[in-house]
Amino acid sequence: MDSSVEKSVIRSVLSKSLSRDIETLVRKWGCFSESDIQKLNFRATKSAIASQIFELCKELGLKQEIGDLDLLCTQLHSSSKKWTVLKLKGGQLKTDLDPQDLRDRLVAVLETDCLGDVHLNVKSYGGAIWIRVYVQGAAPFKTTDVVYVLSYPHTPILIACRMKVKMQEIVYSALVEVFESEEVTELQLTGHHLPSLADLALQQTSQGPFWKYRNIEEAVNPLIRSKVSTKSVTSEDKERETDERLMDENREEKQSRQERLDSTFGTHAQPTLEKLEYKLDLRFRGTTFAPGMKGQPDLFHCRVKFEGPSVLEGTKNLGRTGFASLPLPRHLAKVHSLAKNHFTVAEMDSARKRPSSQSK
Amino acid sequence: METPRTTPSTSLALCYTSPRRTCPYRRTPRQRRLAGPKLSTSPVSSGRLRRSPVTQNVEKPGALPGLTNKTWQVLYLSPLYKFSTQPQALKQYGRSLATFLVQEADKEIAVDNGCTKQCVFSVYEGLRVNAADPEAIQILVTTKATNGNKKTNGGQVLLTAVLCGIDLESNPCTGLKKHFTYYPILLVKSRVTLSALLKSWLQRHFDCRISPLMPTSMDLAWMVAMWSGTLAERKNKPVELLYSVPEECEGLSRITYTINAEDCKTLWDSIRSKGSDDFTGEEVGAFVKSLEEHFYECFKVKLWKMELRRVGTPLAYIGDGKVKIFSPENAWQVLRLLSELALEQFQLLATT
Repeated sequence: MDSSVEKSVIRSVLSKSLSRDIETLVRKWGCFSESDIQKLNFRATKSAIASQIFELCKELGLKQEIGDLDLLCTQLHSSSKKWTVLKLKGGQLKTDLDPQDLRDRLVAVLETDCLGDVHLNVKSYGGAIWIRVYVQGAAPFKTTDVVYVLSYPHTPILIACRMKVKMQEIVYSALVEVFESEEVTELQLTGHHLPSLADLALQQTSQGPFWKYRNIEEAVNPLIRSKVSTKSVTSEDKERETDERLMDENREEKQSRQERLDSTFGTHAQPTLEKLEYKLDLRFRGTTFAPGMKGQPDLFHCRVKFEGPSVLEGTKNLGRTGFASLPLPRHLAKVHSLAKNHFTVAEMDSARKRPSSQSK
Repeated sequence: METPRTTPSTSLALCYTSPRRTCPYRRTPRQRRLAGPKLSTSPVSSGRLRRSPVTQNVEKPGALPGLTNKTWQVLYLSPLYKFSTQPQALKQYGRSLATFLVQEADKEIAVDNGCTKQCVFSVYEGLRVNAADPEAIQILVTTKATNGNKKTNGGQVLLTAVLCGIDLESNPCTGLKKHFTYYPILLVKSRVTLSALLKSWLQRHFDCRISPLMPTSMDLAWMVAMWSGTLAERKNKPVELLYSVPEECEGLSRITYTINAEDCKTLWDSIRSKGSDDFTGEEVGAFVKSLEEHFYECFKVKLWKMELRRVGTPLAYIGDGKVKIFSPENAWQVLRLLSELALEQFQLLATT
């Protein structure tokens, strides 16, 4: 490995993390002994710390491990990247590889495919195997050239960060070969919050009546029967309960709304997604106010984006607060089951015998 | 002068201005002009004309250098006291502003990289549609290289601003003495600190008041309805409506509704009554309502209960106190409506 690359990797890692977290990060990495860490001055500027760490790595002869540091940093700051969910297709997938095995196979495949030096790090973390790939070519190191892929053992689900098209071809074909699959397809599911993406991709059947089963199954000990208080009680509700003079006229309506929403979304916290995107190829439906558009055969093309810190929670709240009528359409309410956040909604006849508002 | 008062004649307009619409409410004119300036019925008597109207100038594409395809901050002003467009006066303003900027820079801790600023006030040609319009003024602040490093940072533009007013139906200064000049809008493009300095200099020097122009949901609805039918020849920007979701609906912050420009044009044509230059409130209501109804049928989400924050049309993107104009041919149309809104806003403040 060229020493300038190592230095840039260390610098990029430090620039991504907060200065007060650097010490814990280095300790977690575990490549320096206690006495080495004592030597480092964590009060200095980030660039000074970077050169200290770099010198120390040179002394100890650490090269491969610097990639691990970068991987560790990415694991801790995973929400700063945009992730795409992939699915492996094929009858006999080999998804029970342990990290070392996976590494050996990937190296073998990538080194034949790539022009340049392949840097590969594989680590198991949080129920997934994390893979870091960097192919060193003639160009100087850029953080955007590094590819991160997560593999969930025993499932066909992979999650990859955004990468360049050229890299994508190489990486996808390598993944196909390593997992002995037929092809890799992108589920149209992207976002920043990894646990939610994994949850949506892996638990497609968890909507509707299944959430109850899942709640029980995932409890600490399913044999212990404890009162399940999933509903959050707001201060407003409390006040209402204590003061008998206060009375909510719309209480019944609100309750029935809440029940209907709970039956579709469940009472648990919704997975975090930042964006829902729709492409609508439908006929115009706003004809009450534009009677001239009645019987118009052409489609009215539009795109709709729902954005926010947690869109699924938001759609549930739209129903709760009355900004939307219930029941919500399928493509808005069943995001969990469909496991994607980019939709195309097409008219029935144009999409050949699909029910209208069915997502492709 | 036409009093901007809404008297909804049909149930449709009533529906659109009904209390379910998000606040704040303001009086809206029953109609706005869509097509070109009414030169024949210009209220200005020919005796006061100093120049012939320069409408031909406006129609020439590329006649507005540096105005299109940039994001401008829009501000509205009260009349300027003792403002003159004489070349000598403009030169003097430039010197005065430069001195002011130097003074302000001295007050702060040395953040500046030691370059002095050069300010130039000049007449901006091509923005006069009506003979009664004030001459548009461009203010340019650039760096002036001082100690030898001419190549590196000399002539770098720090601030561009355009003072203009297009085709106003009435001038609030007509009753006053002639010391006042009224420019409804000021477009500024620069860093926040510098534009704040320019603002305070203008306020001090011409005894005026400058505030950001924030079009309401209603104004934005007008814009999107009026301009969705005007398509440019080549690539059309889609029509876009950005709604902000109210706070009580946690987790969701905004909904973007983007419509293909050609499809939107079809809808616009079906609503618009042909052969009239004026765009009525009923047409605006029908247009926006039908778009919102289409959305409701697709998503069951009631957009009319949310605030319209930003609109995009093939002509311009407007919202949050900013504007970006795409085509030079239609720039005056956008600026005229902004001037009109600024005038309404100013009159509202002046009367209360």
